[in-house]
Amino acid sequence: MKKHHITKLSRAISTLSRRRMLAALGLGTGAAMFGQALSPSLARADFDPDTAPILISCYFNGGYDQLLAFDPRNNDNYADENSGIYPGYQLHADSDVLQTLGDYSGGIVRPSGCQVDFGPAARKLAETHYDKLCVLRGMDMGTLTHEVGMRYFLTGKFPRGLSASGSALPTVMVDQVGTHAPIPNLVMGMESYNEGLAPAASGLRLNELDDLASVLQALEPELALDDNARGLIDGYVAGLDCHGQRLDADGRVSDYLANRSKAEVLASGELFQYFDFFKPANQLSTDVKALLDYFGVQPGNQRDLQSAKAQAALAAQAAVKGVSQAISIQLATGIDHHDDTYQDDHAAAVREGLDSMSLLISYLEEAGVWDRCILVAWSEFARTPRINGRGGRDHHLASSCLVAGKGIAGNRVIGATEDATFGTRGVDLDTGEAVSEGGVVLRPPDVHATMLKAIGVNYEHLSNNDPQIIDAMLA
Amino acid sequence: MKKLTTTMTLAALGIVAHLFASGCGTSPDADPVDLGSVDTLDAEEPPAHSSTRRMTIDQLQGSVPVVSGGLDWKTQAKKGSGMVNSYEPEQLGATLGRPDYVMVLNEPAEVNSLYVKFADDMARYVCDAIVERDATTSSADTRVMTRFVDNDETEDSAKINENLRYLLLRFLGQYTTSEEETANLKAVFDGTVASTTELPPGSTRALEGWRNVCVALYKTPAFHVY
Repeated sequence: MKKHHITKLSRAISTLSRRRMLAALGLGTGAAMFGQALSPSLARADFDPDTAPILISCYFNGGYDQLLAFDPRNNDNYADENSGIYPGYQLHADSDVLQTLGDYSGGIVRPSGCQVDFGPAARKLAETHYDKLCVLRGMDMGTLTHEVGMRYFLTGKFPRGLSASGSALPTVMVDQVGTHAPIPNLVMGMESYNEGLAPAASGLRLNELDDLASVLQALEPELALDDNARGLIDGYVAGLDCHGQRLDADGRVSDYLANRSKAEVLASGELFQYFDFFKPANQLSTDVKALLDYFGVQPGNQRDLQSAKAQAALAAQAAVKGVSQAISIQLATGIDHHDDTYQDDHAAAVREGLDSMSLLISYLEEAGVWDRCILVAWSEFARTPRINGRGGRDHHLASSCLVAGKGIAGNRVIGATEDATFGTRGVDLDTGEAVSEGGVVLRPPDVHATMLKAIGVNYEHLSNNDPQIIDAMLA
Repeated sequence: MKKLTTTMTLAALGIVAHLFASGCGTSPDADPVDLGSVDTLDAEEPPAHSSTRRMTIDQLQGSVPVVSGGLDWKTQAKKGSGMVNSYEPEQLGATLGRPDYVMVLNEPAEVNSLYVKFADDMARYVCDAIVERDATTSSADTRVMTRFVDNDETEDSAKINENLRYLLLRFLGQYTTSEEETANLKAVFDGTVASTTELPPGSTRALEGWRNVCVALYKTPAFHVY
């Protein structure tokens, strides 16, 4: 036991932060430099808000079948349902996939000039944008648990138990690029993590599209304060009295005050005009009507407004209108098809998601924003290469993802899976080709690091995961 | 240890100077007051400060009606009709980050613009309800915003300051006897009283002043950070 003598002086010490303590000693500048040196955002790049990168993360929630999307097999060559890999494209109820099976030999989509095989659910995407797409195959997800796989790809660090480790990729990107936009990190229906980065980089998480109505305008507008009242109240709130100063020991009150101006932008309703998708067609703004038409979202149709098309429209609007720098959307949900619902619903859900992504890329191109964007399509893992006894597919470790956009080589495939088992294979990181010996098995941190490198952002936060830069992925 | 002591002494001098400069501390010339001693376990030194945190949504939901005298923050039901508790997952709870312990296990405790925006919405809704109820409550003992003044009192500074001190204690747990510490809040009251021209039915200029004082107290970070 030790005895500590308490005086008013030591009690005063207990109320002060390191920053304020140094500031009080006239070491404010030093404190700032010290803080930067400790920050994971070391060597933060200098980004022009008008040209800064935009990250679009497209999540397929539930584990997608890679035979349908980015790692297909020829349906004719793998026709034995008892073999290691059984595409079974003819089993699907989705008429578009069946049509593709008729149009492309064995269901393998490979348009003229394309050097990558795509599955039948990726037909529209491949036909429209193959020159921009980089497919990564045989990525080891390291888990067959939904939450773990999702959080692994989200942060690039393997979770601690079920809990995410580190910050989500969009949060890292926004933290380093700087928070320029009104909602820097918009997250629709999924998780977001911030471990030790700037609070302003945190994802603004929304469950559904219509949550935007409550986020982007003041609730109960009839209770709005007049300018005079707002001025008086803001004057009080911003002026920290002694009580407030003591509470600001580690800067949380300052954070609160710093967020007030952004909160006012949210409450003003100025941004909501871009996302007011829920009005009847004859009351929509011209801008929103054109957007919904582009994505094939029928105004007033609740199913459409909850579809992948609407998610893509939201992402397009947020990127083009400068509302967000990172946008996370779900292009498919409920696709964890272990039973025969797989044959009824899986292909349609994945195809609709990929079709919407294709429209999203087209829209961003036409709006002149695509050259700033980097897009990633991913899921927590893949599905087994064989149909199970219940007519569905279970969880499979070797997955694929797709990356496209700023700094990324298009019309390229990196890695592969085993033809007999659909297992992972090592990759030559320089060429992207699968190799028998000496290759590297791809992992989420490698993809994250390479994406961040492609947009000029450092990836040192992944250093404890030994990230491998996939040079073949870079333009 | 000597080096640490020297550093702490320098730091302490700086702290006292800083607090003194900001009007929040004692004069650097004042002698330290002996407050006795306490036993600690194996810690070398006491912590520099205890860290602060933002309220969770559970805590917000619990705190607002304690202050408001039982009035909750409600919003138009997304499913069905009528006004319902805003903290429910299908209302704003999930958007605010309240865990559902199915998909979301942890609640973000960061201060972000979304939380601040909804805190502002909450303040306006709840304060409107408080003042509406106070306007029709004759017994001062059961009123929230006008416990020590009449509902139309705008002149008696002593009573108004007494009421403000009570409100600081009620909303923020901040005990003060100093008019200096109520001055900023009184400016909200006085400014509203002076500028109010149109009154809602049943209200008074004083009640409009107290409505804005209420909003200010619910909006201040000191309510949400502890």
